[in-house]
Amino acid sequence: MSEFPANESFFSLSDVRTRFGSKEVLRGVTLEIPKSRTTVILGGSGTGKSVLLKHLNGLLNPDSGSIRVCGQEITSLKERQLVPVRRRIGIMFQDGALFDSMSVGENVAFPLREQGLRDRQQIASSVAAVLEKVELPGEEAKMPSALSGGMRKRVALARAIVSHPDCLLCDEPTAGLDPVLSQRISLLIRRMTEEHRLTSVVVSHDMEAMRLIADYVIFLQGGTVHYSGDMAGLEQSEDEAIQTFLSSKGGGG
Amino acid sequence: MTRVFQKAGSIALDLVALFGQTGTLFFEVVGAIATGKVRWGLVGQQVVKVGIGSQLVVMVTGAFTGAVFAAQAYFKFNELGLGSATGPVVSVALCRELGPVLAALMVTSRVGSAMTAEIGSMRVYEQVDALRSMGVHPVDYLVVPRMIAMVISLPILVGEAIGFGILAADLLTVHGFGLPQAWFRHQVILATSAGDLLTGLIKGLVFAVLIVLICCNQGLRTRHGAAGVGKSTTKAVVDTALAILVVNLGLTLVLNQFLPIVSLSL
Repeated sequence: MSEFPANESFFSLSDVRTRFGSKEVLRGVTLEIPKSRTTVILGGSGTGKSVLLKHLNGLLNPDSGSIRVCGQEITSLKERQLVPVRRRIGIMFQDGALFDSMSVGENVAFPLREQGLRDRQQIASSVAAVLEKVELPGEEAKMPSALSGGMRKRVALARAIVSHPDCLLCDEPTAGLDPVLSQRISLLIRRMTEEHRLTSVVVSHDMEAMRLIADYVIFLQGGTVHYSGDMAGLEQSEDEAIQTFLSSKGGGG
Repeated sequence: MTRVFQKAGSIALDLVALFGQTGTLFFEVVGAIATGKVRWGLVGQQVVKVGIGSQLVVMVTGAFTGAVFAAQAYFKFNELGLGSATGPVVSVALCRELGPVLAALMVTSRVGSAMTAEIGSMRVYEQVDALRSMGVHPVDYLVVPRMIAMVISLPILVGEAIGFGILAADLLTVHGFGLPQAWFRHQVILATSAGDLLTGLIKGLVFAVLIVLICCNQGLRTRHGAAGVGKSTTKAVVDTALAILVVNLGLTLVLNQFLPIVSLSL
């Protein structure tokens, strides 16, 4: 098991514990997520991956433990104090979380308007440029209800990166997509990460897709970190939980 | 017996939680408005949804309530030779009680339920988290515009309900029952004070705050998918309706100290 150098970490978590009712979802998670790399958090369903992701930008607050974003402790910050931290972090939700009442263009423009940009031409050109990048040129006028699952994910990706954040969080970006679309979305995330020099954190249980993008891998099991290191190390691990997960995903080889 | 106590305890805890949550939300809304976090574009959209969209339902409710109340009052009063009392009784009752309460209940069922369902859906489909992740406080974006729009719209809707109620009572008693129009109107004007109308408008204002706080709070606390949205919406409408009826009694007792009903001299 390898550790990342702390001085290069975007996120540092120490003994993070979170309980929902009687169930302890995160049970002392300690990890480092390096800057300017793509870190994939793998694990089976219900292991706390998405919950962990939502702790990284303060959408969820742990019961105990420390979460630092670029050295700043965020667990003690109130909702309004988290705004500057959150504006450095774009997030792509599992089902896109697009605003139904807004068109694709308005959805993608939303973060720009919220950050105070008022020049309509500038907003329109930024939206057009980012939609071009996610391979949806000219789709500004469509409503989210008219989009396929893959298109919704790409619009969500466009909205997450349009304001040029330092970090991109992706929650199950390939869930519900066929293998071809999964690969396409994964490569898109990889390309956006490289082009924008982002720190990316991707939560998934899709081994095939994650092989394409992972620089580092964290494996969660039962709310604790079982492995952190590279993908090759994960695949060679003799940990029983990892072996079970890999064999169930057909990724044991 | 134990179950009865458990149920009573559970209801009491729910009530305490409701007071705590709506109280907290109230102070968050006041804080956001005081610090200028008002999105006037969204307020305008909500005024259209809440105020303009509720015109017909409130007018019809006011008119038919006024007409039915006038009919029942006239049937009884006329037996006693007091037909002329119909107008004042209907007018004061509409201004002080029926107008604000029925308008608020209709707006709760039409707009409050939609607020809970819309915010609840946004909550379960992670759109509220999406707002937060973009540095937008959900109270600023979702609750404050609705609160301002409702506080502007509901007193106006109450006024319309009262107006259409009195107009319908006028039409029915004058044209239906043959009461002289001058007599009806003279008695209505004589017996209805500005205090009666003000009581109705103040109640409208208080009910507006109640509707938005309870319905938005329920929406923001929705869990468990589409079924959760349904449960939240039902709970929001029931809680708001009960709150309106209970608070109305308190308001009646308090406001009558400051704005008492004028003596009738028929």
